[in-house]
Amino acid sequence: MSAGVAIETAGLGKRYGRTWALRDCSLAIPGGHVVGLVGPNGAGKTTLLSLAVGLATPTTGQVRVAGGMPAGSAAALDAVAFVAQEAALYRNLSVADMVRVGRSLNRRWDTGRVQARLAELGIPLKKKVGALSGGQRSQVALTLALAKRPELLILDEPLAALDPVARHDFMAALMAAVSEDGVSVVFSSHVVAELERVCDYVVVVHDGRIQVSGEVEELVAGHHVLTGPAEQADVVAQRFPVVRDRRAFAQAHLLVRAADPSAAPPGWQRQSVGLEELVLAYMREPSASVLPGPKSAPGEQVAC
Amino acid sequence: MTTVDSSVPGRGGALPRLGLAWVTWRQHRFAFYVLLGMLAGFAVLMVDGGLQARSTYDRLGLARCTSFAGGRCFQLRDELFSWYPAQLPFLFLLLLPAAFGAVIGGPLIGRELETGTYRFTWTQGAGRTRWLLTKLFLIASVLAAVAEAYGALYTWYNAPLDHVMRFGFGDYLGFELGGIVFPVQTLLAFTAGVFAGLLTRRTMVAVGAVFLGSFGLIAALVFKLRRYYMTPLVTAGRIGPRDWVVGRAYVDPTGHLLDTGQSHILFTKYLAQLPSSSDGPSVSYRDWLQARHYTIVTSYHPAGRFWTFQFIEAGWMGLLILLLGIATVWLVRRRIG
Repeated sequence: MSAGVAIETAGLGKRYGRTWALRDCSLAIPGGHVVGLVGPNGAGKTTLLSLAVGLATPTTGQVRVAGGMPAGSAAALDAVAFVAQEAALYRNLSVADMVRVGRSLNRRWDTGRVQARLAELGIPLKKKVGALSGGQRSQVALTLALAKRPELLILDEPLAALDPVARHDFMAALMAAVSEDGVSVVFSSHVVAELERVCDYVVVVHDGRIQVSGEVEELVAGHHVLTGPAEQADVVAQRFPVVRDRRAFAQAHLLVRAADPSAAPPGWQRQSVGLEELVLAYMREPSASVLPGPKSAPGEQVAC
Repeated sequence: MTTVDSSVPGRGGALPRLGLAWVTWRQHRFAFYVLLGMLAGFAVLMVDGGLQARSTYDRLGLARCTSFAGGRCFQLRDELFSWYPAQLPFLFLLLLPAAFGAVIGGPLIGRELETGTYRFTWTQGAGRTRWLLTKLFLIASVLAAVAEAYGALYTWYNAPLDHVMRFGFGDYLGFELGGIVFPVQTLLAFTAGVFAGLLTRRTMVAVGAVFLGSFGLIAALVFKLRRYYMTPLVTAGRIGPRDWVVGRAYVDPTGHLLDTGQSHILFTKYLAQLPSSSDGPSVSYRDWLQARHYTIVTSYHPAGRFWTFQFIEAGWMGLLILLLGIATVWLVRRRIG
């Protein structure tokens, strides 16, 4: 997957009535990653994912998925699996019938894998989908998605409705699938705390625009908190793009984007940041979107 | 790119045979059973009643009658007519196209949108267009067949009476159930239901609105509008059996057709000259008019127009069905999400 692109958008925009849910978004998420798409509620995450799976059609621009197929095309529907919010399954069907619905609607279907997974999870086949617990329902939805043997798996808020144990189990199942077939994963979440453990790539959306997009390692390496005397803070802020500026009495704590902040004046201390802190800082500071996103790997463009 | 396990069955192959048909069956089998159960109940009534009607017909010896203009055959005919239960309960048949169409069509897309399951179904390999077309065609076929079966059963049940009464073809239920308009009306309500469910995204709203709308349309057609499909013929003479009378009017001695107001004045004059007490010699309106050289003219659609009317109604409804179907497919492909 490393050669392909998981999701690639160019000038993508989606308008509902008069409101732009997503606007002028150009993005290239490389394949082979577990991508966390984060942002506050209503930021445009679901819209972006709906466009990527072909449920919505763009108002402007285009989306390509799984190595360049137009989103929603027949080939893309075969190659991309989608787990919708709240596991949108037919609640009045039994698990067995729900599985058969999945099999009936797909060219590629791995029956053995479905049976093995459901048996392993101890989900009774005769039970109605609506009678399962939230965690079990999500697991069934994931099972159906993986049965397609997708190249790209897209999940919309898979954790939102789950309790902590179910969250853990779900992410464990997802990670197992990633290591098993190397499927690319893009999932949205407004729970930032989950990200660090599972994602190696992060996209931050805010107010219909992409704020940050990049590999976790590079992002973390490219940001630092600089601590020093407040009177010099403005000088530092001119040298580096500041994501978060906190001043308390004589001290200033600046979260700056810089791979090598050695150009800071003497007397300034440098600390590395965690992913959660970094993402939260961007989410709290929407104006940071005015700055171009972090420098991305060659061949990727981020211009949302 | 990591290669996908090539041993996976069906890699790049075709969709499972009858896969979409199975999905359609699984999701609509309850409605299908109900539909079939109702049809079976109706069939029992119609076969039982039809057999009895035939034995009554034979017992009365109506087969030997050639004309029912008067005398013994006229009495026998009335006897058969009163044997048939009142026609009124059969008016529920007028409700069926609207009911079947709305109840089965409304949820088809409406419920998927309402419950969010479209996000599962429309992102599977089969794609939403294929899913939609399969469902529409399969369910429409079953609905048309069931509606036609109702028509055939009623027509068979009513055949003895129809043979002796020779109603105008647009009167009673003969036109609804004896041709092709009954299934076409059902399909129109069905397509409208699917479309309304797509627009409103609310199953119950779509079902309710389409049921009322379709029934209103059908009732308006039956009682008011259908007669205007063609210009009626006008005659001063007698009309034939099964000719459909849609109006009567009077022509004055100078050959002018009277309008409603003038006809009313004429009738008032007739009433005024009637003897006030009941013992005086009374003259019928028709004779009174004839004596004054007025003529009665009848507007009617000749019996031969039965199929023309059937095709006119099926034609415009068919066109509407096609337009609604195309709009539905287009909206599902383009506008949802």
